[in-house]
Parts: sequence; structure tokens; C-alpha cells
Amino acid sequence: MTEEVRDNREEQAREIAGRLLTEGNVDGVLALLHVMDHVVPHLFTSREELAHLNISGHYPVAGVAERLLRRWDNNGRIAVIARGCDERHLIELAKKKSVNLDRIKIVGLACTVDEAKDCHCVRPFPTEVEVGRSVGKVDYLDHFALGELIRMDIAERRKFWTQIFDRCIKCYGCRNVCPLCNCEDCRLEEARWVRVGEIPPEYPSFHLIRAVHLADKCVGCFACERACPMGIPLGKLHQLIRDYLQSVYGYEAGRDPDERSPIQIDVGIGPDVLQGLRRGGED
Amino acid sequence: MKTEDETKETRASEIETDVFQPRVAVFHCRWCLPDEENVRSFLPAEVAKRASFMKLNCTGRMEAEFAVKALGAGYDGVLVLGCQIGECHYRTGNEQAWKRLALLSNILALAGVYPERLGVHWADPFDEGTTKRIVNSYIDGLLAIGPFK
Amino acid sequence: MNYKTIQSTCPYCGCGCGVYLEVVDEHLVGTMPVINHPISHGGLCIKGWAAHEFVESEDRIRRPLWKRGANLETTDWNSALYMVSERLQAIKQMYGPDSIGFLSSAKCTNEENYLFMKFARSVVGTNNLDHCARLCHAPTVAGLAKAFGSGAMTNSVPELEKASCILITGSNTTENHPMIASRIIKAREKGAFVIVIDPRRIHIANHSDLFIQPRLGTDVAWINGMMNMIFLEGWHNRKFIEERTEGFEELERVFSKYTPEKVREITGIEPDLLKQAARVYAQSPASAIVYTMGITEHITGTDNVMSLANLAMLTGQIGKRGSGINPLRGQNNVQGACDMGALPDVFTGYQKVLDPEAHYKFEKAWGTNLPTEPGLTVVEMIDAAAAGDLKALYVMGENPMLSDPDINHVREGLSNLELLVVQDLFINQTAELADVVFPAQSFAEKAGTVTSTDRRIQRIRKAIDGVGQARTDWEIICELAGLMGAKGFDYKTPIEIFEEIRSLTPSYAGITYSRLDSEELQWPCPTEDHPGTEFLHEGKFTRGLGSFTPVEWRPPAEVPDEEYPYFLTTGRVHFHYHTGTMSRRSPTLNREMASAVADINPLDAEDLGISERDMVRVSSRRGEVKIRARLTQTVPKGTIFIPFNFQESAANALTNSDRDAISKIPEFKVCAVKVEKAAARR
Repeated sequence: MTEEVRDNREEQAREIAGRLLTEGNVDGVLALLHVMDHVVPHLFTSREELAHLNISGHYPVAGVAERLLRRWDNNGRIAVIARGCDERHLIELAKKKSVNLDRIKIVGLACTVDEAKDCHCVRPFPTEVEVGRSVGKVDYLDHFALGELIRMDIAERRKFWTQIFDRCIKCYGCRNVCPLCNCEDCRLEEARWVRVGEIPPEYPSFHLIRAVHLADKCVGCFACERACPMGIPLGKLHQLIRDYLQSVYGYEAGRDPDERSPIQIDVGIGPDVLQGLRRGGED
Repeated sequence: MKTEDETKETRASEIETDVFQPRVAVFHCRWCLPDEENVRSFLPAEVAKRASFMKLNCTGRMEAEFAVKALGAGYDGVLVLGCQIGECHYRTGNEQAWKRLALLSNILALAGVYPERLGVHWADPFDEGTTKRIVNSYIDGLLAIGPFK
Repeated sequence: MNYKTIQSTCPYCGCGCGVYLEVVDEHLVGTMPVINHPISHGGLCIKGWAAHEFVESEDRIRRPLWKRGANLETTDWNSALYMVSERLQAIKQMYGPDSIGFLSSAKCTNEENYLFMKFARSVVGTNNLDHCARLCHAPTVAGLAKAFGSGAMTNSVPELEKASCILITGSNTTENHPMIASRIIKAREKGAFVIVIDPRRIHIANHSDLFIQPRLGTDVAWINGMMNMIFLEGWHNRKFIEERTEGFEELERVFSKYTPEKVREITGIEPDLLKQAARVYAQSPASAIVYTMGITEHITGTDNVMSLANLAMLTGQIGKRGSGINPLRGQNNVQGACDMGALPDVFTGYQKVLDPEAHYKFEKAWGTNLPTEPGLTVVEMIDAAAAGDLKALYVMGENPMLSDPDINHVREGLSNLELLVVQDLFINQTAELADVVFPAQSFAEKAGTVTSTDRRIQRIRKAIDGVGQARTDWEIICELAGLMGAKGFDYKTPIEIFEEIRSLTPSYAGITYSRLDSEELQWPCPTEDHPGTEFLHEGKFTRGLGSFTPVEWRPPAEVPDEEYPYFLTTGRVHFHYHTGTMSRRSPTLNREMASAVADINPLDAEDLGISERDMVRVSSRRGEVKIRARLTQTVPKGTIFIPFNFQESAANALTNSDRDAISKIPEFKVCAVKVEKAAARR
């Protein structure tokens, strides 16, 4: 796609945002703002600001939307200029009852092929495109070297992942940046799940607890991999897990708020069970 | 999901010299296997000595994270024992557990953990011989792949 | 309803990572990484992600305080400022200006450090001005200035990815400069050979190609040994030595005494390992040295630094892209505080107090007479206070009661003062002893610039209004100067202060606020059309020829004996920051680590009958602490490690204040202790 199309998308987005603000249906439009040479999430509340609205850069804005709506409790409605991944995040958040989609007007933004390749994205478009033009599904295998990970045998994978996970500095960036990692009590923070105060975090608890927890929620936005300062290919691990759910159950997270995950994972946690485990593991 | 037999074949040679005794975390359902001593008796004596037993109200309560945590805490294997499909006290708890643990098994394999470390089996309270055989075959699989850490 | 994000720079370590502060309805609610930031590249460490958490803490000082009887009581700004101005003037009049000392802050902005410096020198009239760089990289400033003419990191952080060999020594990089460790790991992915030489088996050793574990305090010996090997094998860079250095013959006479056997005897390093390190370091196209406190915090700190400089010049591994010597600075603006002349012997940009030209230049610019002799350093000020020669101390954003060696001695010194003024965010251990406490504003409440470890000047921006009645440090200094009748302190914005700085500082002269909005600028940047300097000493050293200084190895000041049989070494932990005033008020960081642990080798633990998590009593000739034990192979047998971040188990109650003769840095990294089990395990 050429620069022309990008510019055009930006104008389209500004126009729609302006209309939404004028018509008064929403209290603000959550989108990206261009400041200096950076792009940041911003809640646009006046038409004047819209000149700096930007659609490049990929910051996952669904998490911001969720936090804002939670903070403003029962009032307020916002519009979100949402790429395919942003919309899928919002849908998954709605399934978790973390957001109420009635309070969000989703303005669908289609990504270009280049953007899709950048993110290893298979589905670079939202359900309803208002800005830009959908390029359809993209076959990630063409441009994304998962093959290497698939070809390894178990022992090779063990070697690969233990070395890679050993780099982890427990910054929690993967969790912090993920809109779907919004549980109030996070097991990755609890000493009974993952030992605290040391790096790298113990293998495999930290990374696999997160992988298991997100297995059927991850929409493949790759924000975790981008936020990882140590170059751990978390996005690829999740892509492989997503492939499993797709191939066994035909399930893809984030498609439809009414679609149920084939795997129910969220059960309240029982300290009784864990206590037995700890006793056993220590002596 | 188990491939114990295959594993046994491919790594049989390693067993001979290995004095390794696996440490197993056993999660069992309280409806089909209410008695811990009974569950203990299914395991080889050496393994039973080092194993930990967690009684669940139903295998449906079994979270994948329990198994991950067990591996992180130094266990070599996680064995989940529940009611036969169709026999669940809560109708489908065991089926739900199965789906979840099958996913976990896949994730373990992707991350370089032998999926054989995770055993999910249905016990028949009226046929202890079969249950014991299944459990022992699981343990043999663990012996073949060796310690986790 | 209001949501905005403000771009700023992380307030913790010296990496200089970019953060967005998330502000909802005028409260800080989160921190996010700046995606295309040159240092942090869209990532942050756990401290960075939690950068906002301490800002609106309940514990922030919200009103000025003064001592009434034994307690600190709240007062109003006018009374507090008036009181301090009166007392400072009275003390100056009675005992002379050199009876007053100033501790500036590596956490404050360049503008604030500059003003504090100007206040001390031009209003009070003393050079008794220092800050905690004395306790970290003073040997770097002294050693590298002697060798090259400039005491800063020669390369930049992104450049490390272009190195083909990285030698890390005395730096627990992953824990203390995580975003720089990230670069090193990426460099290794691209094929760089990583060598770690450290007495502790630190995390980055697991991600190195060669790990060497010398005994504590033997750096000069292994560096000399490495140079000897390089020279004998002919791996040195003859052309570089001839064209760009002086004093090589002297150097050769000294290092040639360090035979592999002698080096093994002193350091415990196997000759073939050292030889491998020597070969790769000398022969790689671009080798970079990365070091921190493990090199500097010794009585031989300056010697250690000069030895590394010798090694780099011997092999010509300096002054190239990806190749040089890189002291990593520990605080967000410790580089800037040094650059701003918050030191007893220099004005901004390292212009010497003793240089008549510089002296005249500043007298003229400020319109006052300035003191001519260099002043006291941090540790000397404490000594002078204890001896009764220093009567007043003004501390801006520092906590010597936890950060300085032998804190029982520090307490004695501070208690002996007639006036102790503390300007801080929180009541720390030093503020508890203060006569007046001014509430200051944090990085999120004010604007200014900070200079990160690779000489990179970046902006911090105001995200929220000040908490309570807190004021920015620069406003407080201006008010006080005004009350004391000084002229030239009527700035309205930090930009005005910065303009004055750059007019007086050649290395900052080309930097403006508007350039900083869109450009990455590293000093030296002499003119407005200069792009800044990515790496130093290309083609020519700052001082002209690089100077070799031969150094003989000397043992640490205190080594284990029968009574105190263990080595103690101190340092920092990943999850906390320095004296913990900020990080321990951050729920995220406190959850990870709520109290200190002492690292003990399992073999020592067995000898002592200590198990994991046992309380132990560690004591030295100067004090004792109680602390929980953590058994780990990170430390070798015979060595205990205690972080200094925690007041209730303060490592610096134990450390030795013996110091390096040149840079005056105390030997934090080595002392002798004994260890006993404190109480039965509950």
C-alpha cells in the first residue's frame, strides 16, 4: 500500500471522529495522537485536537479503553478507532465481562498488507471496516518463520525455550502491554505460583502459566513480543497455541462476543489444593 | 493423548542404567477415588513414597496451572485420575478437564516439555487391576523420559 | 473526563528509557514504554513499568517541616524558607562559607543541579559541593579524564549492538541496567562474543560465551596479566600505540611483571581462560568494555579504571563505532549532575575551578566573587561535620544515611551539625535528622532535562500538578537565593535556566529544548547545527594523546582474618533502587521484594549451619545487621553479598569507609565480616 492510502485513512478517521464528537454520541474518541516524532494513545474530546490524530504505529488501545471505562464506572461512552486486533481484544474483554460493548463505539480500521506483515497478522481487519479497505486474510506462513519451531523435536525445544526463558528479567512487560491480561489478581505476582524477588523467574511456571491462561484469549496481536526487552518470541509461542485451537476446535479468539471458548479455564482458585502441592515439592 | 508405549520403545535403553525415581503429583477425584491410601497403592512403592496427593472435588476443578506449578516446584510428572467419561458426579467435569489438559499437553510439547509428563486417566472403582496397569504404564513413561529438572 | 499521555524519561537508573505517563483526570495511573525510543525500543524493566507508582504515594511530604523539640512539625513555606536563609547567613558570617556544605542530587534535573551549584558557589561562596557520584563513578571521572581527557561512556547504548566483542566486568548488567543488558543479548544474537569477568556468577554470565570468576579486589592484576599476554602474543595495536598514545614504555615495564602464574596466584584465574579473553578482546574488529561499581568501588577504584583504559588503548579498542569504554551510570541524571558541576572541583562541563579562565568566566556571568579552592567531597564533609568543622549541610534529594559507608559515622556527623536542611519527596533516614525539610516535586510534576549514561540529553515533562504544597527543587533554590539577597535567580521556566547552562558549557552549547523534541542529542554538541556525538575519541582523544598510566596491584584495605573470616561485597538488586525511598513505596516492586536477603554460598551455609531463609547476623568492625539468608551459587565460597537498598538491614552499617586516594570513593565492594545464625527457624 502506498502513502496515499495511509493519508486517506487518516483523513477518514479524523472525519468520522469529528462527526462522532459533534453528534455527541460519545464523550471522547480513543485513538493515536501524533506528538513530536511519537505516537501515543489519547482520548480526543475536541475537534481541534483531531488534526494530530494518527493511525500509524501499533499501540494496543483496547486495554486503555477498558481501564478508562472501569475508572469512569457507570457513565461515559467512548469511540475507539480499532484495528482488527483492537476489536478482537475488545470482544475478548467483553467475554470476560471486563467491558460493556454498549459503552464502546468501534470504528473499524483496516490494516495494509505491510502493516499485517509487520505484525505477523493473519486477520488484519475488523468485522466492519469504516476506515481504509480490507485486504482480506493473510497467510502468515509466507512471511513468518514458525517452521523452525515446529520442526524441532521436544529435546531441542526444551533447550531452545529454557535458554530463551532464562533471559527473562521479569519486567511483566508481556502482561502489562496485553489488553487481555487484566485480571485483578494476577497469578504471576503471587509467591505461591511464581517465586518472587528473583530473575530469571523459575522455569516453566512464569511463562507457561501465562501461556495457559491466555491460550484461548490471545488474538495474536504480538504486542507481548514487541514489548519484551529480551527478545523472547512469545508471539510465536502463542501463534502455535492458536493454531492448535483452530485446528482441533475451529476456534479463534475475538471473532464474536457470543462465541464460547471450547476450554473453560477461569475457575476460582483453591488454596487447599496448592498447599498440598507446596508441601510435597519442598522437602 | 498418551504415547507411553512409543516412548518406552524409543528410550528403553536409557531405563537400564537409570536409578531415577520420578516425583509425581497426583490429583485425584474424590468421587471415584476417595481414599488416598487406595490411590497410593496403584503406584510402585518407591514412587508412592515420593509422590504428593491432592484430592479434588472433581477433575473439573483441575486447572492447567496446577500442573505447570507442579513441574515448576520440582515434580517430574503430574497424574490426574478421575471418573470414567459419563460417570462424572457433576456430569461433565471430567470432560472439561480433558479438553483443558489436552490443550496443556499441546502447550507443554510446544515449550519443550514431554507431554508424557502429564497423565490424565479415568479410573474404574470396580476394576482396580486395570487402573493400576494404566498408572504403571504412565510411570514407565516417566522413567523413560527421565527427570524434569 | 480526561485521558492523556505525557512523554518523559524514566526516573530510575541511568539507561534513560522513554516512558509515557498515563494521566486520567489529573492523576497518574500508569506507565507505558515509548515504542520507537532509541534506548528502550518499546520495552521497559519492572522499575520502569512502575515508574508512576511512588509519585502520589500517601507518604509524600506535602508541607514544609521543621524540628520542634525532637519532632518534625509542619510549617508554612515562608517561615521555613526564612528560617533557612537566616541560619545559613548567620553560620556563614560566624564560621565562614566553607563551614557550609551542599549535597546535590543525581535524581534532579540538569537545571536544578546547575542552580544548586550556582547557589552554593555564588550565594554561599563555597565549593563544598558534591553528590553521590562520589560513591559510584568518581574513579571513572578521575581515571578516564586522566587517560583520555573525558570521564564519560565513550560509546552509546544502541552502538553496543554493533560491537563484535563485549567485555563486561563488575557490572550486574541484567539486574541494574536491564535495557542495556537487552542490547548486549541482542548483540550476542548477532554474533558478538560476550565475556563476563565478575567475582559473582551473575545472570548475564549465563548468556555469555566466556565467564571468568576472579577473587574480589584483584582487577588490576588480571587486567595487567591480560595486557601482558596480549603484548607477548603480538595482539596489541602497534600503530594505535605509536600514533595516539604516550607513556607505553612505562606501562610495559609494569605489566610485564604480571606473568600468568603470578596472576593466577593473585586472582585465581586459570591462564588459558584469561588468554582466550585476551585474544578475543584484542582481535575482534570492535570490542567494547562495559563496567560499573565492581570496578570503581574499591580503594583502587581509579587504578582499576585506568587499567581498563590501558587495555583499550593497548589494543586500539576505543574511538570506533561499537568499541570503547563504557561506564554505566546508575541514576537517571548522575551523568547530568556531574556535567552540571555538582562536584567540588569543577563548574559545568568539567571546567576546572582551579582554571583561572573558567573561574573568571563564571564570576563574570554570575556577577559575584567565587571561591578559588576546590571544596570537600561527600565523605570528607561527613568527617568535617563529625569533627565540628562543618556546621551546616544542605541536602537536595540524597540519602547519605543509607547510601554512604559506615552509616554510624554518618549519623554522628549529621547529628553534630548546627543546621541540616533536607529537600526531598519523602522522609528518608536523612530527613529524620533534619532541622528543616522542604517538600520537593518528583519527575512527573516538573519539567527539565536529564542526561543519561551515554551522554544523551532528554526531557522530562510535567504530567500532573505538584502533590500538596510541594515545589520544584529549582523554585525552592530560587526563592531561597532571593531571600538571601542574591541576584540572577529570577527564572520563570526551566528553559531559561537551560539557556544559561548552554551559554556557559561548550559541550551543551548546541542543545536547545526545541531540538530535544525531535532529535536525539548526545554531548558534546558545541553548536546548534552539530548533530551531537555518538561516540568519543574518534581520531583524537579529548586531551590529545591518550595517556597510559602503569598501575601495580594492591590488595583491598580490609581482607578476611580469623575474627572476620568472610568477604562482604555489596550492591543493588533488580527490584529496588538505591536507598529504596522511591522503589519501596511502589507496590509492584515491594511485592517482588519486601526485605533484604544476604546471598551465601551453600558450602559456607553448611559450615555455619544456616538454612535457606534463616535469620543471620552479619557483623564487621563497624556494625552489624540482621538479615535473612538466601543460599545461592551466585556468590563464591567465602563471600557474602548484601544489597544496600534496605534500611532495616543496611549493608552500609558494615562497609569500610577507607577510600581511594585520588577519587575519594569508599571501598563498598570489599570488607571483612563474620556471619552467625541469629535465631532458630520458625
